[in-house]
Amino acid sequence: MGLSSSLNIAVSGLAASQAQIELVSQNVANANSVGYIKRQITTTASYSGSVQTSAVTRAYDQLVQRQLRTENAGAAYSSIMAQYAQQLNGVFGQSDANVSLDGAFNNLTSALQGLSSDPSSSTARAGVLQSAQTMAARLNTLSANVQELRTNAEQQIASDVTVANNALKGLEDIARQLGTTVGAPDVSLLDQRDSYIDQLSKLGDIKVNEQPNGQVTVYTNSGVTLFDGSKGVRFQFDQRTSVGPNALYNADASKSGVGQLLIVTPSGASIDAGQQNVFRSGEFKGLLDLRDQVLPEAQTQLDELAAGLSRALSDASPAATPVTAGAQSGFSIDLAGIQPGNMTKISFQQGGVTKTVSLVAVDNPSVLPLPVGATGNPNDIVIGVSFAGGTAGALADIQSALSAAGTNLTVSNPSGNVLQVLDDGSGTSTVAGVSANITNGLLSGGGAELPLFVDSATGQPYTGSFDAGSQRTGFSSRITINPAVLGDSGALVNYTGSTDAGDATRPNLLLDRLTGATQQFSYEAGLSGTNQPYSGTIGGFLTGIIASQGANAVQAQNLDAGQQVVVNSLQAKVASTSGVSIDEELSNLIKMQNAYSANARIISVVRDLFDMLDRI
Amino acid sequence: MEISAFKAGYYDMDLARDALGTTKAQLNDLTKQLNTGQVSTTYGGLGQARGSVLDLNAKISATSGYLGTISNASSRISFLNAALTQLASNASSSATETAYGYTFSDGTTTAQTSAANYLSQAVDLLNSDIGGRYIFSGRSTDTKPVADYDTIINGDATHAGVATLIAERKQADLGSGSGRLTLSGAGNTVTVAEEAGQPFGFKLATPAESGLSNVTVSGPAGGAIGVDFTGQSNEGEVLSLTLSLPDGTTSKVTLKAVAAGTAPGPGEFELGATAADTAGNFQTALGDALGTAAKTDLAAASALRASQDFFAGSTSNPPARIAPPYASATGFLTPAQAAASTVIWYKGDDDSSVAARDTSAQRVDASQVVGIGARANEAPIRNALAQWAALAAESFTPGSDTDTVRYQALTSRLQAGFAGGPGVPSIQDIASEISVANVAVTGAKDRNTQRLSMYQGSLSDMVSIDPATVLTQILSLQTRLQASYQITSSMASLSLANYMR
Repeated sequence: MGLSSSLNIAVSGLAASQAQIELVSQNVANANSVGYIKRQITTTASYSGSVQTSAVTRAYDQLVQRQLRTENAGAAYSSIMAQYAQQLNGVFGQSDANVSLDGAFNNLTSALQGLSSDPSSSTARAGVLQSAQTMAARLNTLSANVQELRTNAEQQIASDVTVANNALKGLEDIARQLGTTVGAPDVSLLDQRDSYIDQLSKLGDIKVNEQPNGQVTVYTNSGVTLFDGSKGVRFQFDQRTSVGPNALYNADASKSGVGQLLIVTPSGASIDAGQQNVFRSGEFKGLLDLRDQVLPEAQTQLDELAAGLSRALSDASPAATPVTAGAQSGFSIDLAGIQPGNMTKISFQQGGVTKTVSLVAVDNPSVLPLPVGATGNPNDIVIGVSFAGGTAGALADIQSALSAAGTNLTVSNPSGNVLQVLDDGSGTSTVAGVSANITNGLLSGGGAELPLFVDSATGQPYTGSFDAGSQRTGFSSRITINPAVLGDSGALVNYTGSTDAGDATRPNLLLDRLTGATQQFSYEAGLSGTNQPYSGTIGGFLTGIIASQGANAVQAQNLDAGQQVVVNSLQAKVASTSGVSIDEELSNLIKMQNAYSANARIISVVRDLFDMLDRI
Repeated sequence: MEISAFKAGYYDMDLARDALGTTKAQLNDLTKQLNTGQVSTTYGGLGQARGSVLDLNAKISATSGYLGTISNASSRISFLNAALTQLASNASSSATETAYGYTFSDGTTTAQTSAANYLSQAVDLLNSDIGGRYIFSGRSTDTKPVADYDTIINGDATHAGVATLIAERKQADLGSGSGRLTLSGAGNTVTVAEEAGQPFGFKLATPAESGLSNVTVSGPAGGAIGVDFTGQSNEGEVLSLTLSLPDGTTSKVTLKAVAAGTAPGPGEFELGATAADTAGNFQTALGDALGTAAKTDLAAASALRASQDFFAGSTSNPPARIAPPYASATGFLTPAQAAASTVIWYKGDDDSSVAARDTSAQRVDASQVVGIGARANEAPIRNALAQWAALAAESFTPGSDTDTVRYQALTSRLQAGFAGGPGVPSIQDIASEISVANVAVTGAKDRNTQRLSMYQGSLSDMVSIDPATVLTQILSLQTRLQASYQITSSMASLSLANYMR
């Protein structure tokens, strides 16, 4: 050991201190950078006694990071759900009567009460027309709001696709650079890599396999490889700029009204992420769920409400008469004036089981057979029949469909448009009842029912027709007050053509239909489980959907809050290992400063010693 | 909640910032609550109460609707009450006035003048409207129900009024002078018979009451009564014939036997030398008596009946109008002809399948319906109008004995009509039905008002904030927020960086 070696050691000390100070400056400068992980450097003594600095490493806890990524996906999902549920609640659930859905409905019933009390009052008539217009307009607005939310979701998917593709491209670049690195990978590349993975982890639930050389492979939890270590998949999304109630998802791209989220593998194969259910969590899953399930259900609720409102006022229910023919017994019902979409329900018992057959009037045979649940009740036996040739013309079709459905009921057409349904006469089957709804399209002369609302697409009252797709879909966006009634407010009272101005028959009927009459709302509205229709008044259904949307919003928020707590605690853990602590860095700085000045001091002492030697 | 990009190094500061943000948001929310007075602006924000709130909102709306109906009904009831009370009071005044004497210096009595007044007043009352909607028109609230006074009495250019109908009816009832009866004698027998095949004039429906000795009365059979003098009767003995009149009343013609050689006065016949002579005298006396009755009782009954017929008419049921020639009339015009030539005094709703009260059925509560409709042509009102019109349309010649008797005959009928009696529907009855409805409406009003305030109370408990609570919350939040700010700022300065030179 001599002075020279002391000098060398001191110089190595200076170099080590400089390296460490440089690291401190890097840490302090990047303390606020996204995805920055605290750098560490260790010093070791060499055999010669000089200081050696190791490569820069990251203070990184892989297990916690992995958990954080998993929970990130969950949090992104719950957050997007909560965000949309909150907006949906804002749409449906305004409690201010001037903008709320129930406020508009209550105003309509109040106005009808006024009209019933004083049918000839022009003020009362104008009140009914005005509140009916408001009700229709509010349904239109709400429907537009729901579709706006769907369009937003569509746009957000598109922008997420860009994010995902950028991240995957970034991963490819980094993999290439890592491939050319010899020895320990560059930490800044790793940081960059992790930030891409973090971006992906918010979009979907992913698993990451990391090799010691810094190379990674990324899979979804469902097993689809997103990044195989060198090449990444690409997301494709054919975004639709505007989404309407009829624009629904379909696995067949040519029939789909909304964009399809495709994953294209490097080899060119493509996977439909929505249909294959590739993501089980994350923002993609949330947005797809919203666009294709949650929001369409909200739309269905509005459509059912609009349909119920329109039908309640316009549909007549002809009375069924009990008949017997020999040993057979049953009912007959007059189906004159039946329109496409109108239903005749035959409730019967066979073999001790009560079943319902729904005959749905259909003019366009290409839509047959109608799907199960078309009537709003998935337990019904649905038979679509053309009544274009009257009851007589439909008879053979009805009979063969009834037989095909395994019933032993017989139908006949004794006169006019009367349909007679009889049991088998042996007691095996019994007809419990027959009912029908027939839409009255006439302002006067067609009965006390009034087509107060019409479908703006056709200008005709809503019948629930299936002839050109389900008329119900998007009806809430098309419902409008009948312009003929708007032009002649007398139609609110005059149902025969010469009804006295003070006759309350029609106002009373309208009021009763809205407040007292029970009707069936489709199971698709989801108000009474998934396979039972909801039976109740329109007011009951209305409050039901508002309350359920309110409850959904609160539930989604609670879920999200819980998820955020989990994410926060993981982030705290990450912060404690990977975060830059300024105090720690600065105290290191003091240490390094001292070490530097001490090493410098040694150098100056060595110089003094050399000077001394020189002077000897 | 949006997930912010995660920066491990600044985690503590970020956390503090988020916490401050949350507290600040709470403060904002509370301030908003204080400003609006509402817990939340959405149903979602109301928590578990949202179902009840929705329900209460619907109930409040329905109850307010009932109260609106009740207020409508109440104003209608007070209008109806005022009109009906006035009509009833006028009818009872008429009952008194028709009982008084008959001085018609200028051809009109006090009773007649007031009858005209009452009738025109009644027309105005029955045409009362609330906001342009007629209350005595049944369901045809947009139709003015009653024609004006002059049209009712005198008709217009093409349609006959009640005066014309009375004149026609009088001619038809009077016939050639003996009230559409014919007298014939053969030997000892006198026969009085209705003119066949027509509904007018006197009708023979009651057997003659004979106190005459040796006289056999027969009939009425086939519209004829026979008086057969089988021998001589005695002086002072009487025979009475009861004649049915068109208005449902009867008139009695009594003939008394006076001794031969005595000049018979009105209502007397002279016993002749033989039974056949007596029969001849009887026939002459009966002819005179019938002539007198036809000009007095029958004429009065004709006027009343014509007026009643006129007021029985309505749009879908035109009045009975006699087909000319009147003196030998045998029937009525067809309804279409009658409608074309006769004033229809009542143009309102006349659907007899709906009771008058039910023409305005007010739903004052969930299941309570109160009928407060009225029609100007309800029987009690119509009768009063017919009586006033009959009196007002008639004229009497001063100083004429016949007309004096006719006036008495008419007024005695009217007096009975106006005074009414047990079992006869009166205007009072309609008024009391309306009063009963009023009681029901008032009851419903109390119930609904109570219910409304209860609902509103419950609603306000659920959706309104308690300002004191919210203020306290704001204060405590403010204190916490201030403390947090202070700590955050101290923490920020607690960095080694601040202590290094």
